[in-house]
Amino acid sequence: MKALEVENLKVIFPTEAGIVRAVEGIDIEIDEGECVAIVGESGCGKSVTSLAVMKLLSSPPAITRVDKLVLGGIDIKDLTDKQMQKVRGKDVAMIFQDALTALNPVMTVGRQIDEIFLAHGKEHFSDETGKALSRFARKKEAKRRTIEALKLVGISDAELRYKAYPHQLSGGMRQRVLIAMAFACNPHLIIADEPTTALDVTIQAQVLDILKELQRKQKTSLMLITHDLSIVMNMADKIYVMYCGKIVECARTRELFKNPLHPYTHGLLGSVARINDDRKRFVQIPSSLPSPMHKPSGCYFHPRCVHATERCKQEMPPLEQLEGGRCVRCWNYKEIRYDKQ
Amino acid sequence: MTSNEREPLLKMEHVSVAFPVKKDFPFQKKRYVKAVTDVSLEIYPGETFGVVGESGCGKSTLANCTLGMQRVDSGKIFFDGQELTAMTSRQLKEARRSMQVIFQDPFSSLNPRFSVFDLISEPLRIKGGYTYAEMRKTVGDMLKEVGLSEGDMDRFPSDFSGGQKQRIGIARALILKPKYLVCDEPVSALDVSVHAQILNLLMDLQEKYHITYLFISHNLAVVKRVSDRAVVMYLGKVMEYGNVQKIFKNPAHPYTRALMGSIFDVDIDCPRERKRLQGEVPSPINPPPGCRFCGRCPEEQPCCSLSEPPLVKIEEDHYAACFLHADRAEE
Repeated sequence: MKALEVENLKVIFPTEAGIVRAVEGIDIEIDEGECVAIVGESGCGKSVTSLAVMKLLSSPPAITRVDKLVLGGIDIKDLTDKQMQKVRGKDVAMIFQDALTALNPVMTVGRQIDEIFLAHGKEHFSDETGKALSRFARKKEAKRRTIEALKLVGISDAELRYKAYPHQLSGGMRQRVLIAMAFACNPHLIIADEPTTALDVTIQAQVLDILKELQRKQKTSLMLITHDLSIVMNMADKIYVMYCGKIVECARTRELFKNPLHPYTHGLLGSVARINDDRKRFVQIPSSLPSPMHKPSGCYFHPRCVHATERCKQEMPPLEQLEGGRCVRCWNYKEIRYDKQ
Repeated sequence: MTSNEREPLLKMEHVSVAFPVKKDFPFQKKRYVKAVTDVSLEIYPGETFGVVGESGCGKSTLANCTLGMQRVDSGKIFFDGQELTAMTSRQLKEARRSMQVIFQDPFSSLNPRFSVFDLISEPLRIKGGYTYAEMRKTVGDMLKEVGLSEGDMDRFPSDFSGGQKQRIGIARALILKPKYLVCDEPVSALDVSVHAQILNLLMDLQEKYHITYLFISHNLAVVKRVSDRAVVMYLGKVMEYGNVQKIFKNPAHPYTRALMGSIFDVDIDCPRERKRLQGEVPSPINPPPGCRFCGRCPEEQPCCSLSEPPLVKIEEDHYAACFLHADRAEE
């Protein structure tokens, strides 16, 4: 069974200035227990994709079209908002970038995690005889589980932190609380949208380790959304590279890092600052992302691509399937030879 | 770069800064956040001086001190031979003409109601003595210098992407041709793909105008590439200080090694062994006794929590404050 199957997802935002095609027909497949990363610059549509999968995009303004949206065996394509509420948190959960805005500032973190157990796990709240627990006993049970969940993400003094408000915790701790919330109901899929961008390098390493460890232990699938290729190397099994709302390359992590086929992937890899690199200048992708309202003709990447040909300016290349589940959207990927970095 | 023969552009001598903490009740003993404690360093003209550390280690306070924006509790700061810490506010204003800052977040450091021309020409207007036509020309030249076009002059910050906004910030900082520029995490709010563009631009401009940079970052890999000398700070104290190449070749302090261990890499064939640093930065109100790093240090010794290790010389232009090297102090 697949944890997530998305086919031909399209999201557009009609605005006064014109139509913004945020996501233009992308397919994503995530296997059970797999960690898949979606990598791209800001504005490439990766966050919109994750919100569309959660069905969190409000319409209007967004218009979403999808051929197939199956999550852990459940077809959620036509579910209403009410029905989706039952799915979110239980079958799919999300970890947001900024933990301070994702958490409720006037509620203790313990009670926020309790809420998830109380909202979703009613069937789990029964005694040995199968009788449903009283309201008081349910709350007590939820607290016990919350403290367990907090311990699982490496928060020391979990009983004490249960009563803490978000502002009393450090950035790393808040992100751990969010991770605990996401893993609370043991969902099929967790979507982590830039989970460590707001954190220091040392704390970032810690948080990613916890995320990886929990994901392996609980056999949850993870969709990791980030703009930084360096953090996905040790996390992801498969990587999708997005550019301007389209997938430009998809490959197993090892293959992508060893042999990037698309010039954009190559540029992204080159722009990561490495510690054992003594060259003074940084490799850069020239110019910047085009406006989502006026995307260039042909291949969207051609104005920034050093290998662009006449054909690239005219026609959009198809997403070519290669062996090993690899795919690439480029006319010239066979001809381009990259210098070893 | 032989640093010892030249006169430093900026010199800090035993600088300490502490911020009082609000009292919880009226008769509570006064408490302080010790943001910077006993920092001495020298920055030479034309070099890039890196400052590395986790959030809350005093990097930004240190930078504010060098700009004369932060009164120091003790110690002295000399800029270009003059004592910053003894200046009146009028003299400071004069001295700050040759200093500028680039801020971390280009989204909040540019006034959204100012056009690009207003933003970049503001330092010129404050300095005075320019006609409107002169200002238009100077701003236009500056924009081209940072990779934007003259036509962008009458647009507003909201029309630009993060990387372009940071370029506007750089143009504004450089318009008065400063000698000394503080880059306070200039790329951490930007996408990784834009990092390279901005860092290359900063290095090109440095070469052209011979500016001295104070480069603050928590990413060691970036600091290694851009700076000549650097200081590694932890809870307001200097942990390691000196030539970047020497620090990276032979990191003497366990904290530097831990920071290096937490960097992510993209070399799939030779994964470096990554040592994780446990725990988080303790509160700067009650820092641990002895060495500030003890408690998280993987190589802790019994003497570490008793007294503070002195800054000892490891080699030429390379110093570290750790008891692992205390034996060198007697030499």
